[in-house]
Amino acid sequence: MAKKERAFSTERKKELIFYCLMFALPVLQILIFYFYVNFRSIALAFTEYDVESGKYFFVGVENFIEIFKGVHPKMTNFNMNFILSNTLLIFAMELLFGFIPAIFFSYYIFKKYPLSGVFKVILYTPHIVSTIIFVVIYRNFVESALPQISEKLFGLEMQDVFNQVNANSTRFFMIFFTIFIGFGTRVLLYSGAMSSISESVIESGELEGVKPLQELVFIVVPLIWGTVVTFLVVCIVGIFSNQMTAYSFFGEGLDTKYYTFGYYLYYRATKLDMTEYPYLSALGLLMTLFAVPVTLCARYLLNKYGPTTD
Amino acid sequence: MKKLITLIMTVVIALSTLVIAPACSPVISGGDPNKTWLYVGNYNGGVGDKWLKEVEKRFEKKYENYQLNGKTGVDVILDSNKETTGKTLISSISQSKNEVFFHQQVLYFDYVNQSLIRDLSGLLERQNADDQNQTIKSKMYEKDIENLTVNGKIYALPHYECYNGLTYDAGIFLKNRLYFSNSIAEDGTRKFITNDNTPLSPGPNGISGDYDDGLPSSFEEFYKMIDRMKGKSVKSVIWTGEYTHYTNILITALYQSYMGVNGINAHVDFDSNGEEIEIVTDFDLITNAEKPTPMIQKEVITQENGYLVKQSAGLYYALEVAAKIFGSQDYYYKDSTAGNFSQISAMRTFMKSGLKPGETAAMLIDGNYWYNEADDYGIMEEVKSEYSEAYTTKQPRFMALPQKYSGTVMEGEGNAPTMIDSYNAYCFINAKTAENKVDLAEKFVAFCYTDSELKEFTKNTNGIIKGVKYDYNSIKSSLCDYAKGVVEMRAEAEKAGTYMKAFSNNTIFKANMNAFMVDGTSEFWESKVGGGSKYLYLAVRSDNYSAKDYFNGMKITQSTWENTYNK
Repeated sequence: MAKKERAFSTERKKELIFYCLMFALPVLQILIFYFYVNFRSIALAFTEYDVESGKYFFVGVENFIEIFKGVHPKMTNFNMNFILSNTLLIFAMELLFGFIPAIFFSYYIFKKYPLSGVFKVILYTPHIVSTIIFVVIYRNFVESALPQISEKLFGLEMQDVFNQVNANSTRFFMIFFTIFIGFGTRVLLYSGAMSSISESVIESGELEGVKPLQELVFIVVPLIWGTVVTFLVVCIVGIFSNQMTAYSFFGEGLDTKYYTFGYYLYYRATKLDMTEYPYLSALGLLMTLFAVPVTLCARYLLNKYGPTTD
Repeated sequence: MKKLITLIMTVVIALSTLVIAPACSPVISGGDPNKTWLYVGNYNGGVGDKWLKEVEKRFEKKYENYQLNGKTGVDVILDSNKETTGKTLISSISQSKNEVFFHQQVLYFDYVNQSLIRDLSGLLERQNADDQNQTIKSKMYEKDIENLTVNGKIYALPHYECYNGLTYDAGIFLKNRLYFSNSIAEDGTRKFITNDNTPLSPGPNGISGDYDDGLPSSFEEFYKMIDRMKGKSVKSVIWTGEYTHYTNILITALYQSYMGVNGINAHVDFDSNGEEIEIVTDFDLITNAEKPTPMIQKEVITQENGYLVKQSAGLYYALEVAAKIFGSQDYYYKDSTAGNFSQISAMRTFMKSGLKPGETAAMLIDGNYWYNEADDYGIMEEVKSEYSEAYTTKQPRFMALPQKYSGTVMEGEGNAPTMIDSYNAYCFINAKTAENKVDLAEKFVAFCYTDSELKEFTKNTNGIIKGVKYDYNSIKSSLCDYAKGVVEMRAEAEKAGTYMKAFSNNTIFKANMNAFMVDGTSEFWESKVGGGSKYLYLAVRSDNYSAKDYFNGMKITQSTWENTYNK
């Protein structure tokens, strides 16, 4: 009996060592990349960099006050009107033209309507090929091919449509690309969720004479509502990090009128200016303080008032 | 069958991704296992790495008997890439294998403050027997020693100098009679040449028979020249549409030329050393509503009124020229605004300009390194083989820009060109270098800064000057015409003291480098018009703002200066 217990204990020890080894790396990763990075970022928000000594000094909430007053020395290129309107515009456009059509497309694929397989491949291809390659192809298409097609087929002259000179067309082509490049993921997620719907549910609906649109609205969407909520919540969380693919298209050369919060933070961080990190951290923290309640509230409302299968 | 097609497609797409992957992360290949390896990182931009490959051969030969850890000889392992600049290297240098670096856009003080690079003071003071017992420090300019010294130590050496500006095609200038002649009209202005043999004006430097003859010597003449180009259906400028900040290169070049060394020193040091700088206080809109005239007052720049550097007349004049050029397609090559018109495309088009049918562009907006970059890309060879005979008329030259606003420069009255480098290119040693490799790394740096290697550098880079003192004039005969022109200008600037690096160890400058560095992407160019644009080109093209609007939007108020920049 004692022999058996000893063997068991040795086995437990081995298992424990195995578990420890297995968890060591992920735990270390969480400690460094989640706790340390975030803690450091929060701490930076309350400091100021001294160029002479190369050290950070505690300044309390000074950075936050200066940001609210709009007088922080590092608030160059910060135009709240443009940044906020672009950020909200891309969010709204993604919801309107990314989210709703994605549901319809997913349904189309789910129902295996003609060429649904082809659409699936076309929509998902951008996710296999590097985004930057698509950026180059798209840019060449819009700037070289599209003007020629437009002139030859319709006699319409298209000039300066995507070089920031024409603000509306530049913004349109940036938004279109951003929605297009993210479309495949949505379709794949929704169609994946739809595929788990029991065939008997669909069949019983069909037997009762439910039309496709009714089937989508009253059966399919409620059954995948959990996935939809998750996706919408992710969208809201990402409001302040959405760049509208601006950095990939224009790098540092983007004019302020196309800035989003996502681009602004990313671009300023790439400047790698030590004096700017405290300001960026403070700004990021403020955005988090805004995004957290909005996200939680949206999640609560979506779950409470969303469609049900009842 | 369907499954097979899906499988094939998946494999093809996966492979296409794999093919791209190696380009994203440069792999440093191993060297000879019997030799000591020295890792050298290099920014492979316009200046390229041809020069470094040559250094590698000579250094390995010279140290073929070098002994370390039982190994004999040295194998230099190069890591040249375009993706990592001095700006981005700062976040990865501590993980980098490279021991010696040659990079541009180096945020020197941040590297030093974070102890990322080694103190080179000992190396700089050491006499080099292979270099007539000279020390490297003796080759450094006083101003560089002053700027780079931190707590009595120097951590980096100036690498190369690049100058923003315009390159013009002397062939197109001659063919279209765009040069100014030596004769003066009744109204006191210069006439253009009428034939190939018309004597040329002495140019901005006021000396006949040298590199700038016939070029506009004032901003007024510059306007006259671009209008003549327009009249002859020649586009004044061409640039890459891929990078919007290239439009700021034109403004930078004109601004620096007008301000001169004293003006730019006042800009980076916030101290004009008692010299008065022209400041625009307001605009006279009554005399000529079409063309506002700046009202100028002279001011001595100090730490207290440093904000005035953004109200200088030189800045306004530069913006005014650029606004005219960017404001009408009559002045610029059609593809310059296209985002897919790359730097290489711009260089190629400029080199073929006038040789092939279509729009002709007379001047290229780029740094003087473009020629070397184009050469590395094989553009010169390509154009030569495509237009064998006509190619002889192709004569790109770096342009000496005007330094005064009105009138003309008469013989003996001009100034040497203003040559200002704002690329912050440095050579340094990684602080992580193993102690037993430091000697080898220092030997390599010392080797690169011997007189003979400095000259070889200039030879192998089509006239790029190293940022230290050496006799680059002695190799002029071995350079191409373009490089010869740059070297002549640099030599004259050095002699006259009109050369400098736009860099300072001034505390305000260091704390606000992005706001005052005069490079194409810095926030120096930011204006309140258009919601905070930093590209005059876009403000003019997109929203019809004038140079005056843009200039007024660039101002820093006294209270902002006191509360933010000069706290």
